[in-house]
Amino acid sequence: MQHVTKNHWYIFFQLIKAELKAYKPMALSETIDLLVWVAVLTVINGLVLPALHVPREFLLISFSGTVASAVSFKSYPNIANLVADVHGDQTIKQRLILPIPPWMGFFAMVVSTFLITLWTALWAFPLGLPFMWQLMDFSGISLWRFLVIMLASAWFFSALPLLMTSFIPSPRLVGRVWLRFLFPLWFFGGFSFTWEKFYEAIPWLAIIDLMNPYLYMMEGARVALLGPPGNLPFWLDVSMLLVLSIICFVFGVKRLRKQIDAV
Amino acid sequence: MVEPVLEVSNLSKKFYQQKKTITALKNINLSLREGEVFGLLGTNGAGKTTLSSILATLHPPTEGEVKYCGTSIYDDLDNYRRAVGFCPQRPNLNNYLNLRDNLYFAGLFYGLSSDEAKDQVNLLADELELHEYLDHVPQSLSGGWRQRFMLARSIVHSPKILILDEPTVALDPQVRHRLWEKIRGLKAKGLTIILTTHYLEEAEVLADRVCILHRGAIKLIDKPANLKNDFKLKTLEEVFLQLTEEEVAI
Repeated sequence: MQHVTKNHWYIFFQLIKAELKAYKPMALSETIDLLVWVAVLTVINGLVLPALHVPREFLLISFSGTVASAVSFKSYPNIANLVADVHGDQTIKQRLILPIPPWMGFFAMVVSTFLITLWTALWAFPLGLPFMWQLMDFSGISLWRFLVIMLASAWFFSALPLLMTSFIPSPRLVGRVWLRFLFPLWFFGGFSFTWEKFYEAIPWLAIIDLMNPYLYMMEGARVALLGPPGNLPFWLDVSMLLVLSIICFVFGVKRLRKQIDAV
Repeated sequence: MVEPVLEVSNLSKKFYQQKKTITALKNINLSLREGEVFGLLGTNGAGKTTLSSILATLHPPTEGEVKYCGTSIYDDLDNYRRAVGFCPQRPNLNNYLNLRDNLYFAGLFYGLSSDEAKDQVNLLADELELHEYLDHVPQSLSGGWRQRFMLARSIVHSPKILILDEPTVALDPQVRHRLWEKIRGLKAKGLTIILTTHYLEEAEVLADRVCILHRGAIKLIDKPANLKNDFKLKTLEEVFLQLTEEEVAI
């Protein structure tokens, strides 16, 4: 592997700076997009479903699932944008001829996506909280755990577009990513149930589900917001998300470079 | 004898698509002298863009060697990349940044400091008359202006070699002539320019030497005037048609 110099890091940070500057005019509208989604779900969980006597436990699981899902909110548009760029605008090609190791160009993309994802997603919890105020048991909340799981999840969902894009041969097919991949993973990820209960109900499917990255994001968020009982161990959740992030990055870069036929 | 600035030896490129092997370039040998405009000519699919992309280090060759000032470009890729400016056929400016930032960040991406990049943007805006559109986004520009900004972006880091892949394609004659003036200005500054084009008139006007590619192989390399003399024809276009008539007949 090429030796990384100070100049390489300089260019790396400029790539991130450019991405953030390009994102700045969209920051407000994209945050509003997310907030609308969070608000709708938390109003239903916090105000509508309690009136229907839905158990409090389910509502809290669903709320923490909503907060955690905010991290994954941008993964589909990120995949669509990258596919459109690789097959259309080709701004990625400018990145691939810069005097830096190729992996650094992709890594800068992941870091800027990570920062943008985190900026948007961290609003979900404070925004949803007023609607859930009466249902929450604040003694169970661990803010540092919440931050750690959000960071780990944001890493994963920033690296995922690289790998996903490498499997999509045409922008025409990008819609399938949501219906065939992201949506099933999201719902089987335990948006509205814990893995423990899933295992009690359908053990074989729950074991397969251990390969699902959404599961670790949801379980980790529940440990942080509702407390550890009934969820997978917190550090297992964090470790799995980080390992899966590395897998997505390494194989994503390898496959994308092959797809683009880059040096 | 002066050492060539860029030397390509036995270069081939194959693509593997749907279990088929497509040979885009076959045994390419050429050398570029410092400060010359080298025209790469050929019909569609002749391999011009593939060759210019390899020279820009976007794609690797399947076989062969490219040397910059006597050293393989792959031995010191960073050094070579800093010495090369690439203007691809398809404008790929960042549509989410205005044109000032497109140029500014392009400078930073090649290691310029913030002040150096700002100075370069102002200098290029003066030279290429870009001031009017600096605060616009790329999508709002016409093809000619976009191409002019692409040219500016490719030279913002003051490269020694400039690769222009069909810079005037689909532009109206007036805009094309204005871009020719800019290219002449860059040559006058001592840049070595590789100009890919399928406008024969453009090559005749701008290139010191031309290389005619046909189905991935070099047919010949010479000065446009020599070619016209040798073939006893009036224009480079006639020479080109004669050389590639087999393909035209198809």
